[in-house]
Amino acid sequence: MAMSKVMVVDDEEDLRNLVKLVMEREGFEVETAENGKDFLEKVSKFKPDFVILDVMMPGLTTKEILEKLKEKNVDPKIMLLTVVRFSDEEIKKLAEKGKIVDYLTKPFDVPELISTVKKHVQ
Amino acid sequence: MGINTLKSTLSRRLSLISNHKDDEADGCGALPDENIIELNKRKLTRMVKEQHLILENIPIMVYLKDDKGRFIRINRAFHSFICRYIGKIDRESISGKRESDIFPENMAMLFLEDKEVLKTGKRKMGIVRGLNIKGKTIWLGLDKIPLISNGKVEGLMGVLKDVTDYIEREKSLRESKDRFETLAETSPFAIFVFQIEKVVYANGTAEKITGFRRDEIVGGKFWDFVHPDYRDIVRVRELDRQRGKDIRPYECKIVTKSGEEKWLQITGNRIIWEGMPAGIITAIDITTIKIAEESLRESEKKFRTLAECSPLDIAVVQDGRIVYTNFEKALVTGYSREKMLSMDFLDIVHPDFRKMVTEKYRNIISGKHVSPFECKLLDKNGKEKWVLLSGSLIKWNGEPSILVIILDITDRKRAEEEALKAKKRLENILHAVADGIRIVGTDYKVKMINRRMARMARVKMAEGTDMVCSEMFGCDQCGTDECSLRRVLRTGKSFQTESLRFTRDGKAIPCLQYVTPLRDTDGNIVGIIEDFRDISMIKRTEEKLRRAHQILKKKNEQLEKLNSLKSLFLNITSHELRTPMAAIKGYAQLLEMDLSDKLDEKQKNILHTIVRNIDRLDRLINDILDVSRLESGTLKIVPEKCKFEEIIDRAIETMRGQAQVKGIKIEKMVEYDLPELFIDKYRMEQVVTNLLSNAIKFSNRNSRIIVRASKKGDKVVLEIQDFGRGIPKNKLKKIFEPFYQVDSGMDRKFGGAGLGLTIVKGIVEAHGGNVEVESKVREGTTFRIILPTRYIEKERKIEIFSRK
Repeated sequence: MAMSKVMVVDDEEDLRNLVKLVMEREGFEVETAENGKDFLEKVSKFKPDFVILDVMMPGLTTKEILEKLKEKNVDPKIMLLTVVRFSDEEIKKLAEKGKIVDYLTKPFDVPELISTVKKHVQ
Repeated sequence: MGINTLKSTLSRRLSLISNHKDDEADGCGALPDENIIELNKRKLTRMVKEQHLILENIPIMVYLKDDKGRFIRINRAFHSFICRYIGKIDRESISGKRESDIFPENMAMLFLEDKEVLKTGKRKMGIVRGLNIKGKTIWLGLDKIPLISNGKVEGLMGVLKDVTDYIEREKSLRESKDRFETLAETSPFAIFVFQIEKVVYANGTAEKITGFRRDEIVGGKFWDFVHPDYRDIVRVRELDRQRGKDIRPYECKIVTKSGEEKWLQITGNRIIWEGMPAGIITAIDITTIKIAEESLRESEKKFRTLAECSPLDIAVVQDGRIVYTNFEKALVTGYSREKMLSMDFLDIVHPDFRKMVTEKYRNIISGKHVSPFECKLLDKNGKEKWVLLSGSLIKWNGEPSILVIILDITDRKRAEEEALKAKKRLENILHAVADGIRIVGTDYKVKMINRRMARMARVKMAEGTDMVCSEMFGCDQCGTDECSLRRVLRTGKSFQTESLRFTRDGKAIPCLQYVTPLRDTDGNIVGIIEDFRDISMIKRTEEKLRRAHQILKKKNEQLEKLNSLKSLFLNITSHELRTPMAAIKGYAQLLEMDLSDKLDEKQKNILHTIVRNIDRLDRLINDILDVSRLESGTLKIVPEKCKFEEIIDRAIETMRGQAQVKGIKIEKMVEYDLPELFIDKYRMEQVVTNLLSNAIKFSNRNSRIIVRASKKGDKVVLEIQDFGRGIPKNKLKKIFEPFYQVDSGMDRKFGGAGLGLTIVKGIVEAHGGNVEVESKVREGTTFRIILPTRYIEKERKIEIFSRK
């Protein structure tokens, strides 16, 4: 079975690397992006199964990213990383924009990050 | 003719009276057969017996004589008469005797006619007068009936009746009649006697009064000369009188022969006139009295009619007493006539006016002219009434009296008083108002000013009027089209304006001014009413306010800037702090995972402590953010439909670890059919978690915590009860304040920033609920949150932050 591909999008390098390390440690093929623009450029080539997307980045907003992602030839599951809490209702609304399956608030628990991603990518 | 024949004849005659049929049967019937004869015989015997019985017992004296004039028999009444007046004799011995054999000479006259009757066969009747027997005069009525059989006189039946009483009475009557007539003829009164309707007697005076001759009166009807108006009354009364009714004296009018009307007073009685009931009346001519009386009544009637038509109370006062009032109920005082007539006039006069009224009364009585005057009366309810009294001297029943006319002027007086009061009131108001008011005529001259106006313009009240308006209180519009008077004359309308005014000594006063046209009764403008309000103070205040406003505006701008800085700070705090924290926590955890088999316990603990402190820092940041949001009112409540029990379960689950550390048991008692709530799940979980965390913190080791949830009406109530140290009463109120610790020394021991309860209260209240707390020191604390089953506030829109 081919390795699942996970893409980590965060403007914070330390966090981006942390998630990358954790994901690689769990055996995923990982690609990173620094912001929305970077992500949209790389996503078509990398074709991730799963995207871990920081909600608050300079440049494009999450909403814009999600809309533009639809124009690409990919359809990954997306998990949001956020500092604010979302209600079920808010998640539902965001889900209309893309295939959002979950979210984690910062600072997150590493074991929780692992289990959440594994829950959706198998 | 034998005695038996006579007897049978007698029987037959008597039977004629009692039974007519017998006569027929006996006289002219067909030849009777034996039986019938026998039957008739018996019948006859019985009848004779009966007739005998009657004859014996009637109170009339009866005797029978034969054709020779000899007594056959007498009945018992006759026998006892004889016994009484002549002496005792045997009744049987009479038979066959003649009267001369039995009766004394003077009594023989009783039978004088017997011979003639027997001779002629004709009946004779008559009265024997004054038969003097034993010193007594006896009158007897006689009836001698011949007994005729076959055309032959066979005897007679004599009937005698004692009529002494009748005769005596008649005699005395005749005597009294004579006496009466003598008396009547000399009477000065007219006397009439009449029976039924017919006059049977009239005296000489009657002739004089009526003008008719006596022979014209007697035989006619009494009421022939009675005036037609009175005829029926007289007729009824006089007929009643004869019937025995008691008739009181009465008056009636008659018409004399010459056509003159006369008044008679009639008194009368019932008498027996010639054996018949009759009426006797005495008539007195009262015409002169009557005329006098009538004219008197006529004039009084006129007066009363006049008085009673009057809309005024009229009274006649005699010696201070009211002797006449025109109304059944006095208009002014309301007293009844009856009551008034028992009062002194002064009784109805108000005490303050009694002296005056007495004086006026004396003057009138003494003949002086007194003009109508005003005074106060008291009505029957003691209410004061203003009246106009006019009095004039009159004669009433011959006595000098005062005719008082009372006119109620209470309403007028009251109106006058009211008008006066109103005027006074208006003046008071005019002078009391804070505005200066003046009236300016069309000649630009001031007609009136109030006190405030005088003060405002610095003139004296007296000198203010009659000044030219601009001289009294100058105006920056003077001479222009905006001059108040000119404007009113032009438009005819009232208006409001601001103007700058000047006092005579040159002080400028900014004024707000209301100008109203003053019109006469025809509606022509005769001037203006100006109302000035000194607005210099307002102007100054306005200036101050404007300055203050500018300062405030500047400060507000600064505050707004600060506020945006604060939100920025909060955003930065939430995002910028969390990113490095996430990194620290994550790398520590990654290190722990990667090196788990290479690290010893101590090193593992170090990494664990790093993670734990990051979590604690995270919670602290969250709490600070929440409190700051609560304070700024920006805490987001995102309500969703959810089951309260699930929230409770999650919170308990979250806190179970902490509880187990202290050996505390969490007992859940939740009503199974709690309604679904529309709340913010996460926030409510935070509430329950905070409360549980608090409870665990202050519980003793190995104790328990009870979580109860139930429905009460349209509310859901959650209670979290611990059995810990409790909260002193004086600190209960403060526990919800931010950063408050019941015991600052506890801070170290229990940890936490003292924000938990503030957040709990804020979140619950943001849901429209409230928090209560009950506590006893050393017994424990119960927190109770009460939530409405329906969340009312609108759902807010989500925002996804961007640092663009």
